[in-house]
Amino acid sequence: MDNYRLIQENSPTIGEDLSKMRFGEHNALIYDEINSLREIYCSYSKKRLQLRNNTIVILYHYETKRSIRDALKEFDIDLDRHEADRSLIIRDANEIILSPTLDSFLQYLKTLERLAIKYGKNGIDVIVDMGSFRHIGKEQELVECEKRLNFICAASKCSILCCYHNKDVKALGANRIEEIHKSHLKNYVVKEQE
Amino acid sequence: MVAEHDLKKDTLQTSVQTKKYRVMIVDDEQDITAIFKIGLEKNQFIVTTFNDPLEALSKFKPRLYDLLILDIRMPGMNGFQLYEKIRDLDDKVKVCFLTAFEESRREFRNSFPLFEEVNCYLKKPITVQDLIKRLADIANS
Repeated sequence: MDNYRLIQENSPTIGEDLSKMRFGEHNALIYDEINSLREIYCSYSKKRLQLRNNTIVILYHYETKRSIRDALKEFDIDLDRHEADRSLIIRDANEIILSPTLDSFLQYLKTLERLAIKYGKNGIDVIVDMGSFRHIGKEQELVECEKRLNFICAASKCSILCCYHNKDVKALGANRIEEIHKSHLKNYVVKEQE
Repeated sequence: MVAEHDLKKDTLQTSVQTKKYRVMIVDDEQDITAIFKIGLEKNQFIVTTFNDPLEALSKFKPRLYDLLILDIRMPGMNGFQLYEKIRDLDDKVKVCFLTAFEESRREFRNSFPLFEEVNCYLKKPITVQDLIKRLADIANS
């Protein structure tokens, strides 16, 4: 891929578009406000949980499990039921990414996919905040991870949405930003409302 | 209970009001900095807040603050990175880290090699009264 797609839209439009993601898709979401991210993952999760028999995996960095649960509850998502039937998993990305290696994170995704299918699901939809890489100073591994996620995603019952805070993106530098954009089929940039 | 609560509150105020303590709070969550600022300023602290660590660093001047309260996970620059930059400018200022995450004290120590230099480690959610008590302890130490 020599070029990449940058799509600038508001949160509801992006949420709507993302809810149509298919297995094999690996997209990026760049946000400025945590509330925009919340709105997007809540509407995305609600639609996916209603319409598809997949496991949603939310790997957070700038939020807590509690704040994510609260946000999903406000969207009338029955957390207890979805967590009990393994259609929703919420975890701290820091505990998964590079813990201890990049391979273990990728292996974790493969294991989740296998387990989801074992429990009667079609596959997994992963929303991961990549802020963890910057947090632990592993920017080079981040680029490597994005490239490898492309291959993993293409051959799996898996869709992946990599979320980036805009300040983390800017801190990466032009070359890495371009590499990251190129790694994704679509790069959504949230247009914040004035 | 009310009397005991008031007594505690008075004790806290007495412990810090001899000197106006200057505090800088850096947290990307605006709600947190706003609540802490109001609560601390009612209790004799002089508070400056930032929601962007890079802006906090650019405005920081040595000896301007007695104490810094730094969130850990912030976009652009995390609390540990900010701490190291500020330490290069001011080796006297006291520092508290603030985290909402489920890390234990041991995990925090492991993830931050300079842990022993830090004056305290606070977990969110924390009430303003608890925050004042911890800061008063540091102010008097």
